[in-house]
Amino acid sequence: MKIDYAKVVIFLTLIHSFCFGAHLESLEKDNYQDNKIVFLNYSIQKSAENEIQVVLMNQIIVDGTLKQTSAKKHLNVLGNLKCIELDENYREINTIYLLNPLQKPVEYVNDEGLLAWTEIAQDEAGFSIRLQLHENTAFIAIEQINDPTQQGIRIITTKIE
Amino acid sequence: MRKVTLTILGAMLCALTSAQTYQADTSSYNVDTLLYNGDTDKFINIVILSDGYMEAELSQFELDATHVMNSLFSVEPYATYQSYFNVFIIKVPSNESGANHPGTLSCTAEHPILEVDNYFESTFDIGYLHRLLASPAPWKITDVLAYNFPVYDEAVVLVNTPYYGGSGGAFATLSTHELSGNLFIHELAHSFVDLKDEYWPGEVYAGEAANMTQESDPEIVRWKNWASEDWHGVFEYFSGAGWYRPHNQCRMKILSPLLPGVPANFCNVCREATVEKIHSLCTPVQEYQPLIEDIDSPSFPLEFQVELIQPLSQTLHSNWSLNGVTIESNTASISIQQADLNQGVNILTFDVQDETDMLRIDNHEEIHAYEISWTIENGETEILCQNLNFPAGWSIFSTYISAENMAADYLLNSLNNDNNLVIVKNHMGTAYLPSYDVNGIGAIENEQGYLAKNNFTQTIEICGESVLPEETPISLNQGWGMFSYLRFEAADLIAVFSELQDEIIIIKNNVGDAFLPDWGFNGIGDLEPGKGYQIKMASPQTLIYLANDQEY
Repeated sequence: MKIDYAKVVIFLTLIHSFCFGAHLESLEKDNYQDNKIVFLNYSIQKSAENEIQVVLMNQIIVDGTLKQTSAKKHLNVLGNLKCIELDENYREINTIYLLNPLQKPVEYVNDEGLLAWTEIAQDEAGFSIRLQLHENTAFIAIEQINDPTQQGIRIITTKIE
Repeated sequence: MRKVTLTILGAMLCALTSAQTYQADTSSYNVDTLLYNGDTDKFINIVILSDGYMEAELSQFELDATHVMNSLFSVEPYATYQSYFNVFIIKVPSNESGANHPGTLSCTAEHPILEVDNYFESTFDIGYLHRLLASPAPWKITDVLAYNFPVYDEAVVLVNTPYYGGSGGAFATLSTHELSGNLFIHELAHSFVDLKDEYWPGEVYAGEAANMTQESDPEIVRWKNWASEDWHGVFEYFSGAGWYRPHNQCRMKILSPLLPGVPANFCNVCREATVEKIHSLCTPVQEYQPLIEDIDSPSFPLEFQVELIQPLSQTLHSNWSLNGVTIESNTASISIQQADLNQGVNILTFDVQDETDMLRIDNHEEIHAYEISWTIENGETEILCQNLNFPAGWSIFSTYISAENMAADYLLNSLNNDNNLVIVKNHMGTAYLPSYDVNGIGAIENEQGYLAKNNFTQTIEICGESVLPEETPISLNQGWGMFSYLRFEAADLIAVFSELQDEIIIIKNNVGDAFLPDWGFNGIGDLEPGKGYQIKMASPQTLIYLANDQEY
């Protein structure tokens, strides 16, 4: 009988995962892809029922290395967005946090020539993300944060291609 | 805080309605250099994009952008550290000149209503705030940067309008008005250095930062080393605010000078934070030779060279050390003879520190010590052997030995006698299955732990060079992973992870003993040579063990 070694390996790996290694499901390398940066443009819209809809406008992948990556954990607050890199099995690799584009804080100069902040509330806006791609990133998911300690509400998942 | 419902961004709404059919502008625009100090992958790149400049006005854009750049580099610490920056401009032509001004406010007397077909759609009156000048189409800025200068560190849009205005955010925006440069420098301090405002921005924008804190004790506040000097102190934003700033006249508080002819400066605390940020992005070492850091077969004399990025103040101080002994200071090159070396492994180190008086951070020499090390083999390499014990059933192993051939099927070959070894798995779940002669793992990496299953207990010996634990960083990824133990002797797990403890969820050994920092429980005790460990991290971190001649 001819043995299909590839299938045997997959079968054994699956059996082993169930028996022993199930807790290893989120293992991933933290390596970055060789000089790949992804730019994602999204539009975000709030309905009359306050439901959020996000639409991908375009994605651009270019060569290059960013000097710094910051998760901006201080933005992990109610109403903001999570941007999650996922591998091909939808396991989380990396998470960064984004300001809610529909309530955008902006600093400006007021009529007295002094600095001030305002929050521009919109029903519709655009936002952009720039990321150094990890080695195994296959998807980018956007989630809305309703509870900083819990998984957010996934709004859109974009295949990186 | 004032909330404003935005109703004037008609152009943006139209664009978003057709988001599904959005076509990015993939054009290549002229990217010109205003300031070049070195490679874009090493130096800090500021990119200025034009808006509201017609094709024939792009030479004026270059002049205006140069003026913005000169404004920035006239202010400390940017003036002193100009050598760490590149400045580029992207010449994006617009169909029409200027910026939109819808005139929705009572500001039309001095600033007429304008409808302009400019590229990034920059407009005044955003959010009914007259001087709030910004692009309502950030995706256009993103596209131009992606296709023309993706590795920017800071990007700013310069709008061809003489009226005072601008804004912060992901992309700072400013007009050509003479005061707009001050706004740009202030916004850069937010986006580049993460500095907070030193005027009261409102509770929602308050937070711990280099220049903002809730700590009021001058003895322990993070800027305590600047207290009482040059009008620095611990100043409450307003009585009862509960938040404190280090100065009352910093650029993070005011745009324009309080006194005519006296320019507004960053306070010492903000300067220090800026210098730290500059060094974190652009190390003072620009180039070094040789690039190979392990010199196995040296021919003498050995020549070493380092090129530094000196700030204007020439404050970099450097040392060359051989096997821990300083042999030269403040020289860019050194020559090593064989007689200078010990038999066996020698370590040549070049370290450099910035001794600027703008830095007063405690233990700065430890935090920001920039170092290059070369390992020079003089004579034969010492070969060591490590015994790895594989109990019957599942276990996790690792090794500090770097053998000539690290392929799993070669290294673990002696475990295959009597079909002892069933499977080896790495942290990705990839397997080496000896009975099927399938090695999906490839080489055993010293940084990793590996799961193994054996039919019976067996000890094998692995021989080769030992890796230096202090020079073998181990990436601990977010979520589950496995790591190795690289020292010759066992060490207390809590001591090893003392600085990473807050980010650890659990560590487990091969028999299921656990370290649970949140519970203050360590069932593992010591990390042991030859063993590997499973770990779950809350965030990605790097583990570096102490050298074998040091103790935890």
